Amino acid sequence: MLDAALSGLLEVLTPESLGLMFIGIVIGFVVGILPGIGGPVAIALMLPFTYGMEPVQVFAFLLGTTVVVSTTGDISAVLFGIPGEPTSAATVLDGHPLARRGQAGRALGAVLMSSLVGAVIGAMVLAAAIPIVRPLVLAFGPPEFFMLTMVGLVFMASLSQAQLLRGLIMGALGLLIALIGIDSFTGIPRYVFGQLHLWEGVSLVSIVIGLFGGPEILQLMLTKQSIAGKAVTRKIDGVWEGMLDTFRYWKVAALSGAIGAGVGMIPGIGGSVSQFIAYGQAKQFSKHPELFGKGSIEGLIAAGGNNNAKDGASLIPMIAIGLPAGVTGAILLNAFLISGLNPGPEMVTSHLHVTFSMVWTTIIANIIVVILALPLLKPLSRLTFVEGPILVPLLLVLVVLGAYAERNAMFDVWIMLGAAVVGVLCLRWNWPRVPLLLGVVLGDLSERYLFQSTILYGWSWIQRPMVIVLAIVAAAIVFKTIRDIIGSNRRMSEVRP
Amino acid sequence: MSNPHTPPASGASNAIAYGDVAMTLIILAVMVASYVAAASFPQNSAFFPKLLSLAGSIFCLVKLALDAWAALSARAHLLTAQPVPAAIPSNEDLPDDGDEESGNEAEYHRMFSQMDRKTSAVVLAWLVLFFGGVYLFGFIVTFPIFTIFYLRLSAKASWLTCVIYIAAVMLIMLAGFRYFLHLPLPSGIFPLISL
Repeated sequence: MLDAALSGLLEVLTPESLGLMFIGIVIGFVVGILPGIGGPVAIALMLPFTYGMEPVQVFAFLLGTTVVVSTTGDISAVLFGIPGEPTSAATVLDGHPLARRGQAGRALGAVLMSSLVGAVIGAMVLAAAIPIVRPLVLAFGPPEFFMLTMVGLVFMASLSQAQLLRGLIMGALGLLIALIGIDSFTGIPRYVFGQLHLWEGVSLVSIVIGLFGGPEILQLMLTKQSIAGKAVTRKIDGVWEGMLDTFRYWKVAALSGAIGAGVGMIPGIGGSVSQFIAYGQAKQFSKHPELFGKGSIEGLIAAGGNNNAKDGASLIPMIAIGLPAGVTGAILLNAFLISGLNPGPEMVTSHLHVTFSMVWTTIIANIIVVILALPLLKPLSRLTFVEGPILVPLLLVLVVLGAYAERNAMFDVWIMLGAAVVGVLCLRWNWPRVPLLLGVVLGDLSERYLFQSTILYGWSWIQRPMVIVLAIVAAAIVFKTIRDIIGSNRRMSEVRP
Repeated sequence: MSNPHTPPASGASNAIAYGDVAMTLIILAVMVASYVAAASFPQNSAFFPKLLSLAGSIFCLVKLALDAWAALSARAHLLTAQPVPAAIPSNEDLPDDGDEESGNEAEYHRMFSQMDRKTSAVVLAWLVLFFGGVYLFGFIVTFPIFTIFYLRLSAKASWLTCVIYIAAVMLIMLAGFRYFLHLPLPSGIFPLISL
């Protein structure tokens, strides 16, 4: 096994592999910063270029692109409040408030370093999981996956604390929105209102951009201030401080990385869910949970650390049983076939060096992107102090093209505008946006797993031990939140005259 | 969850409560409509939407009931309590830590609740111009024209800044989207220029 690990490293360090990885990193850097394009689109477009490459080179190129997108997506999330990727949505919650407070440099430093820590954890989990992964992945069935989606949703709603009921309502609404389109089981169009565009469902990218980017642009147009606003402390030189913060809160980074690796390896769940679970646990265990959502460095580290950890771990089910963990995995699976590889036992036997090359690529690509990003952070941070109206046309272009790019349809731009209106209303009336987003992410998955569970087991799936455990976890989260609300209201009434 | 301590006397607070209730009612209407629409789906397709819309409706009704109870409690409290110098902000209806430096959602909340009609109308007009322009004439035509007008009138930018800005953004967008990623740009329904 050590021979394979060494062989994998040496193959990654060849000039050809390193060169291709660097090209992939540059592509990923640009794509990650541009909101809406997404890693899957980028690697799908790069796939034809891999014909004729050696397997290690293929994955150096494609994984180089993929892992960097996670990191750079966080950069636009911090600076503009527009997540470059759906998996960067949790980064917005604390990263952008820090930027608005004039601490963009610190936020970017923290998110870069926590991403690197998370990536290393994810890669280590991938390496360690290689021999034991197969039975682990197969242990979970549709009922457990369904319950996992429900736990994720309840967890997210509970994060709004006093707004638990609003969070649950928004979560239910998000799940309903996700059901728009053709039902994959019966072929029946649902809630499409005669619109052909809706048959494919609602674009998640448009909703993410609209919910989070729309209010930000409107705010810039209304106030005509910079993203950092009237911030007194205009620190741009806090990059190292942010990096050190990652080590100061190493437990948060490590735990969120572990969660990213754990959830990231579960097919179909992916980073969109794990980021919020990691964020939620960081808040639950923080000494300052009240700062979360307002510029908590712990929250930012949790989101950043989680984001990259899932990349390495998400390869595990694909390598072990040919089951992609998400859209990116599904596209990478094509790269396996193009390279003449078969996922499964041979990836942990005769092609073990290729598997280890993926581990090394994940680590090396993340180190390179941190080094590459460091000199760019200060100029990027300065963008937050540029006057608002100057940035408005650029941001409008990014949100329009980001929404348009997924399906080349103006309809998705209108969806994005609708989501922006909802985002503004949520902020105006103090409703949480994240449960809505998570509901949209989870809707299709939840229904599929519920359908499969009832087809396979009738209603007896409810009695499965792991399902019961997950249901208890969800109930405990709700109970704890309600108890916190009652306690908080009691304290408020005590200080009232 | 409803907040029993919403100060009823403040105009702003009342506005927040009315908007909150209106939003709950709209979502409740969406949930009920979804349930009714799901009745026409086959059984397998209808099950999950019905389950969700039913759960969502129950959440909305519980919230409305708690809001009503909170309003009644607040009114009773107002009738019996001694006058207080200022209403204490609640921990829910006003986002916490609304200090000016924090840069949190409270700032957005305050800004969106305080925006005047004239400013809103101007911003809305700019957005209609941009999105309408992209829809009608495409990105290539709309972006430079919109940017020149917006930067000149709203940001008071110089002509040189406008030209450099447009050239740089167009170059990045055309290179990035059109030629590198091979993604088409919105061409509009009356495309004057298409690449």
